Amino acid sequence: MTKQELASYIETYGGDLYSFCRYLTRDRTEADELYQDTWLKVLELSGRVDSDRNIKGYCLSVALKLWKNRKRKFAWRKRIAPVRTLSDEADAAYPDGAASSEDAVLRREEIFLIRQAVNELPEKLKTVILLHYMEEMSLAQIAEMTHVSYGTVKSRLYHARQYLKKRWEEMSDET
Amino acid sequence: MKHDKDEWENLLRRALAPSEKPSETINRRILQQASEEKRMRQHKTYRKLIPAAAAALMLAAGFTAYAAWNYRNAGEIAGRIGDEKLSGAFAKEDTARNADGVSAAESQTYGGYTATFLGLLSGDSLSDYAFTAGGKLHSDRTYCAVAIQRADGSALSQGEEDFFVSPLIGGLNPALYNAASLFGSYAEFAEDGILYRLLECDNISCFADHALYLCVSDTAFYDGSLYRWDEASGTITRNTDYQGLNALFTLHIDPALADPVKAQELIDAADTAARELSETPALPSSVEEAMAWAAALTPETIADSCVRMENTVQTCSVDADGWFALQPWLVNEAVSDTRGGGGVKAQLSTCFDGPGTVIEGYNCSEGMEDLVITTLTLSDDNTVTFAAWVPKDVSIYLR
Repeated sequence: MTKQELASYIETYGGDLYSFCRYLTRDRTEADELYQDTWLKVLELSGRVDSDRNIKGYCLSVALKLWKNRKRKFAWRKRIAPVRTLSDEADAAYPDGAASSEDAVLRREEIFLIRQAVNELPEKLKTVILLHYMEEMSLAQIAEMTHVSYGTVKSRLYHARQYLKKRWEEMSDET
Repeated sequence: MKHDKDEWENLLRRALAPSEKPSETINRRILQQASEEKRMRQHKTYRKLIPAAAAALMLAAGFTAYAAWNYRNAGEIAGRIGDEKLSGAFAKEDTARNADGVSAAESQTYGGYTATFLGLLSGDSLSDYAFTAGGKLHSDRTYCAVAIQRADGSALSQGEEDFFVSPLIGGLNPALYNAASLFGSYAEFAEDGILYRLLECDNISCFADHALYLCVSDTAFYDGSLYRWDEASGTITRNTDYQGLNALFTLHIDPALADPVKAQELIDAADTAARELSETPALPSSVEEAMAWAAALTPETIADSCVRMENTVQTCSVDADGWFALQPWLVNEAVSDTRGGGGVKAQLSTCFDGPGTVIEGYNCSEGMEDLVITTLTLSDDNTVTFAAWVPKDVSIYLR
């Protein structure tokens, strides 16, 4: 992989990968480190990678593996999600600050509550939810990436959805 | 707020659509590190599997310079690393050469190592594997097999020592034109205390009208101090003053294979690759300057030029095992891209030698305006106080 190819991949998939890292780590500094380490690992392994494969899926699987290793290595570290204001979270949904009229239909509170609930999910469930809804991966792709059976992915997705729905309704009632 | 199933699915997708973006600085840093990593690993990239359809016919341009009997031969080495096609090609050439009388393996011993040149083969699509770079398939390759062992007979294992193996071309500066710039890679393994390495690079047969060499040194990269290049005559020789391994074998390739046009293409490609590597995007000078400025701060001077962000200050106690835990903090919530940290549990002994203040770290994305410096203070009462600081006057967090 040349530097130009890497730059092109970063341009194309950087946002998707970074969003995934942010949710996985729940911390900007950790996300920066994981994002950077992922690209360097992808580069390191590029000689063994079939260039025709799904680059985005491959990057996500590398990030996931690095994050698991990192957690094992630094098990003593207990990261807590930084507290962000409601407006910060909602603004993040519209990075350019100009939501379209269609986007505006979705209330900011709903986005915020769902994201908050996703961050509460146990990591195995959160990973499946992020890969499916954020990265638009099929259940079969997720099963291959996370090395679990298709049925397990399906079950985790179901339980994650149920939890999110329950929490979202609880939280929206509170507000 | 109730939604039906489709609405709920849609809501999840919309809420979780990727919305975070990495900073330009971090992307630049990745590309910068990538260039450094690439230099480090230029010779260690394992080869890609070639799609079956792309495996072309082996051309008759192959040429075996040597075969050896005291070591595994080149064909066996290729077979051992799983390249049956190359193994067969080496074997075929060995057989052809054997009919004419195979030369004995050539060994050279310097600096406590014996390097043995076991064979060379050049041609198009000789391998089960293909090397690609820049999206381009490099199928016309030269393969060199060498064995390296300790002269005292003690075992050498894979990865234990750095070695650099490369063809060198008379008339061309070896520091610029070697396996690295000729898109080289290698595979290696150790057996019976002997390290076997199979190097490949773009086909050097087109340089057959030049003197051709193979260097084997105990360095990770080409080191100009190990060999002498006479710019006037173009000859390359060993630096006999060097105390380590700097073997230099002469390669015998049929001059009829020389192809000046193709040789120039290789030189141009090597020049382009070298230029790309040298074009490392630098961090913005504003970031470099801010980091240098922060590095010069000390716990004693930080208050002179920085403002302590009182909202980030927190004090925690140290538990019986010497751990302390910091709660999440943000420099200034009112700033949209505010900097902060998660809750961190750390061990006292890794942060302090005794009571006092240490600068824990600093970082920025743009420069002085978003620079944040963090400090930890251990008090006599065995509590730890954390604080984030920002430069006076210029910080966005003070607006």
